Amino acid sequence: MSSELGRLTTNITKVTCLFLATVTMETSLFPLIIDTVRIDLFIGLILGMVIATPFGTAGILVIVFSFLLQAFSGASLGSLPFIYLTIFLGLTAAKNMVYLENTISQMVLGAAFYVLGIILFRLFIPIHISLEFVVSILASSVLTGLTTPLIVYMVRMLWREDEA
Amino acid sequence: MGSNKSDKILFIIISVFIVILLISIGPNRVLNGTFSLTREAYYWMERGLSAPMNFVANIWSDYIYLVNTRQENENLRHELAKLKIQCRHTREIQDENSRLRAMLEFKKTSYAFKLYPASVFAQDISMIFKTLVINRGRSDGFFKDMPIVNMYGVVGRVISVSPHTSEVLLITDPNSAVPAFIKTIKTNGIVRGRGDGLLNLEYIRRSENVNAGDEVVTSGLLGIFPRGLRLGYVYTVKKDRREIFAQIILKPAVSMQRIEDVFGIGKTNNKHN
Repeated sequence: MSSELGRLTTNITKVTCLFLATVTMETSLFPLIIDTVRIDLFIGLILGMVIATPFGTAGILVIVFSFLLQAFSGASLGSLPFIYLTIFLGLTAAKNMVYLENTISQMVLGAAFYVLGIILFRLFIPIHISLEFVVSILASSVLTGLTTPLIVYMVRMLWREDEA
Repeated sequence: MGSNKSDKILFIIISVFIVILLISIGPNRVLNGTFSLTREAYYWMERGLSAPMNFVANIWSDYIYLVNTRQENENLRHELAKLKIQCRHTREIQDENSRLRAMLEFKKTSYAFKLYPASVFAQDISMIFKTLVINRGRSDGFFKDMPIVNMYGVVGRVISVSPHTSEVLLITDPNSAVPAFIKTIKTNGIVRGRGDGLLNLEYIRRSENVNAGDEVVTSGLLGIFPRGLRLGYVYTVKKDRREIFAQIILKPAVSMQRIEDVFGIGKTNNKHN
């Protein structure tokens, strides 16, 4: 029992470190390179947790992590947990319909859920949608899709249930 | 299997409840404290990670390649940026003085800026919201609603502050509204972010003679931004016969894509002569 708890704590710590690394990349590194596109690595993290971790644990981590992301965003309180919880539930539902271990599926889901997130953001704030904005959203969703399998792979590597 | 399903449903219900609760709370001191703490922790982590990397990088750039020139150049760059802002402001004060003289016995007003330098170290994670996190906070004299500028014009204002970091709402964010003034026709309006990098200038009557390229500056109303700071230039003007106000789009004076160094404007001292 205690070894199970210890393993869970270790796994959560490792995933938290990965989360911090994604925050660093998203808030500091990517904007330095290019500002017109944003790669959402958090979607890959959620998908990885949906595949590799128990439902309850993943759900709690999604809410806690997205709540912490609020410190780096001008989004209104609760909107980030709402968006990422919706994405988490959407991906959990997709688990029963799509084979999530497939890299192509992960790419498509990463890109699709990025667009869904933007649509949900649009519910909270009346932004002006220009052609440039649409192009940058599409570019961002493609890049998010491309990076999603990598993050999923990292989560699966970190979250080891069957350690000896 | 059945209990697993009911656990999931229970989890979803609790999660949705938490999210609704979060949305309905609005700004809260405890939660703001949590976000400040998160940013602080991130600030120290980022400093801890970047310090050794900067050290190695600086051995070449600061000591081997150019011993003093780089540091001197950096200082001069900061100094130049400060002087440009002060010079622009001085010009604005001169204009204001001339106007006041022309209006005979009105009192002259001048403002003294105290500029606090800061650097950007994190940006908003989404493409929708336009905020920055800078590496100066309460302990460096930064405060909520402090105007943030750079040498080209207004960047935004501080919306939350922790001991060593501050979150800045850019003027291009849809939540931002700044009282503004078109210099050429001397008319007041409100500059609002659109979320796509441009700005709307609202409440300017259709009958006003606004042209592309007109400079728009802060009007100083409401007291957050001092008067005369450059916001942007008129980009397009649309006049619909059915509308009372013109639809004016501005291009911000500051290119928001690549902001590195900014200045916070300290409390303004009004000197009445």
